[in-house]
Amino acid sequence: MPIIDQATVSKDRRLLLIRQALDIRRTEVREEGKRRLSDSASFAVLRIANILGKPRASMVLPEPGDWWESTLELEDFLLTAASDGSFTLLQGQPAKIAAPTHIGKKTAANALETLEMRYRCPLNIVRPAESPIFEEALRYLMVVDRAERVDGLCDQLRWILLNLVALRCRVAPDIRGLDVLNVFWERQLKPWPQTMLAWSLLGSYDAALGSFA
Amino acid sequence: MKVAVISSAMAEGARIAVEIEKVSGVEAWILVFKSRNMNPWMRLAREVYRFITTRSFFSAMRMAVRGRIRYFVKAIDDPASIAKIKTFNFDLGVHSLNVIYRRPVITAFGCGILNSHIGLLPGYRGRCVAEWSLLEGNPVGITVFFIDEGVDTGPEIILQEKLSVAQFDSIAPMKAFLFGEDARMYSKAIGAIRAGHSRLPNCLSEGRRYYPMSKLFLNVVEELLQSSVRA
Repeated sequence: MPIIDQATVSKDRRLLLIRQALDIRRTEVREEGKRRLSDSASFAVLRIANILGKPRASMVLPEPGDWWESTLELEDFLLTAASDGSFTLLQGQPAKIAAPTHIGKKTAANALETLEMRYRCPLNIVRPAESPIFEEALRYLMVVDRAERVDGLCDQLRWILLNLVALRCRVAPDIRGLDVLNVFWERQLKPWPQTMLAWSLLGSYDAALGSFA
Repeated sequence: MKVAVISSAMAEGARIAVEIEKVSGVEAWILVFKSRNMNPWMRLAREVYRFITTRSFFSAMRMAVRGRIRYFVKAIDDPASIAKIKTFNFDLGVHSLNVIYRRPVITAFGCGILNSHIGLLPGYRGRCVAEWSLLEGNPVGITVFFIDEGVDTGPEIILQEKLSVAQFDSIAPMKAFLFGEDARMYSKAIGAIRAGHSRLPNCLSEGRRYYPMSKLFLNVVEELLQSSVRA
């Protein structure tokens, strides 16, 4: 039997189809996001609303060093990064808290605490050495979290993981990570929560969609 | 060699058993386990439907007459089921049941349990791997390997084949074709085991785990298949 000749669909055609699909989704995210965000009184949220629809700046990172630290707290950092705001990164010591493995085996409270301590500066998720936690985040979101537990802590954990995935995909494009965001957008579009983490995800998802070349 | 097809439906088991019995020296059995959340009437209806679609009714009857079909009322990982499996002294299990096996089940079959995975390992582990292969511009194929407790992480690959899917213009018939190749692939794999062919390592670091695809990318894959057929 002849082997499928993937070349019958040229690489250019394939990438064009992917790019077109991502552009359609990006338009959808921008329109839906702006509609939902524009009523907010929060300055930070309005900044995200303003940035949707504008060309996004690529994130310039300093030298990797050991570990980055920031003066902002996790959620503030995510909002700032999502709206292309400026932040200062300082060189710090390697994180003392180990990356969580098997997030699903921890309680949501414990997993949240670990993530919030390790990724106080969430940009560290883009480091190549953080690949295992990125993989574990994808696994948790697509396998464990599909049980759709509804308590508040699980929600919080889900949104932090989605933000970390979006941040990493923005800096180091990964088609599987991007697709996890696609799946959650398709699943959560209608009941999109009114929380800071959900708003920051909108901004980061938009940027990640634009960064895939 | 005594080989058990582990299935949730007699028709499916018979379809595979008939094919693997073509390998000389193989004695095929069918072990049918209860499906989760399915009442007896639904199960009967599904059996009838599968007998019609797989045309395996007479094969199943022949197996039944030879006493080579066993029904289990409990789940496969229930200790009573495992103890009963061990009494048959199977040399090999062949996977056709929608579960992830635990260690005691795997070790109940002498050499282990084979899985026919519709992706090329070690590159593509997990779900929707045929679609992901197409999306990433890589060949589609099937890998037969020895199962372990993880998801497509079993360390030994028995054989793999790249397959043409250029004739399919959508995902559903392409996947039906790939899943339907399992009997032929199992037969070849058992032949390779009996012939003592060398095995390939399933190097996890050379591949990635994939997950169910979004509607957005599934549409892209549909378009890729249609473009391929048009080409």
